[in-house]
Amino acid sequence: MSEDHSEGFLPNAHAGPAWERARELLVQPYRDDASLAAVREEMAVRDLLHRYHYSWDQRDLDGILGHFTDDCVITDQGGVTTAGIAAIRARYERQMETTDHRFHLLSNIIVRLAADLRSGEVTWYHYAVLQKAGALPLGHGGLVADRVVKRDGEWKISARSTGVDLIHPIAATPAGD
Amino acid sequence: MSDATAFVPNTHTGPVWERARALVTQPARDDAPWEVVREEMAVRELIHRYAYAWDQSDIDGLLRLFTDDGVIHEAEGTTAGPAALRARYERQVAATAHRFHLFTNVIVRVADDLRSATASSYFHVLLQKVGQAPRALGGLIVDDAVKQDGAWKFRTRSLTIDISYAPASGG
Repeated sequence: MSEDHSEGFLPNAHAGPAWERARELLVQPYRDDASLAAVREEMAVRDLLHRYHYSWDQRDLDGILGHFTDDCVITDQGGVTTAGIAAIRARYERQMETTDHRFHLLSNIIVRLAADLRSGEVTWYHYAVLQKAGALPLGHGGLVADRVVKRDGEWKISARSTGVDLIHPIAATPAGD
Repeated sequence: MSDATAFVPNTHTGPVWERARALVTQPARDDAPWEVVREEMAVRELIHRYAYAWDQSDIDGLLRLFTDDGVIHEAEGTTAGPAALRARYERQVAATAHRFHLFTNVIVRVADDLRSATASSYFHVLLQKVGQAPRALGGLIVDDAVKQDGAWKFRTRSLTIDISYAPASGG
């Protein structure tokens, strides 16, 4: 990833595994005869994603990991994978060490559940204000494609592909002025 | 190294975040009947309708979203009742020419009797005060909502600010 954050959109914007999965998902039509059970499960999946961001922004590592299955695999934009809950913990620990604060906005969520309502695919945009230690704050946006499964009554993320599409500087101002 | 920050010193702390933490650890009901789903969607709409009214400076519309005993809790103090709420919004509309609110990460838990609910949501707003450059604020709101005469309304809104920054201007 480039260290020049003045560019805005990155050279590989809208490319990579997450965008490929999103494109596959988006051609699946929305069911206009969805049952109550399907609507309920879709709302529960959306709830999972939103709760994940509360944990992440509060640096609640155990809370974050509770949203993933033990065998989850995370694939980043360059195809590098992080497999299993121990490796995912280490990944988040590294990110927490280098980034003091995060404020995530989540939008454009598309959910498609399997007919048995036990698994599904989700894609969503994220936009975050991030502040690394000793650095200027940055705006950071991209796409995530998740595979989710329902286990023991709870939805969890079993595979995740992440992509970053834009990074831009933010001019910080004193709080409360 | 830079001392500039977009995050306020007490970011992600305080009573509003504590309430949000308590809320988001409550699992979503996976046996929710249709009535619960419908009421949750109505509470979500209440939160989003607030943005429409506020961004259009529709103070009457804003006040209709609150109960007669509606209260806003924020760092500057507590504002209680329709007259005080109207005065608060009138001051802010006079001082701020434009607003653009985004609400996301909305978590809603509806009580069993379907007459009350608690919700937590992130907000991010671009706003422009008269004679000043645009700036952005972001934070968290926790709501206590009640259903009165068939309509969901805010009884309390508790808000806290986590980020404050000026969007970089284009070159």
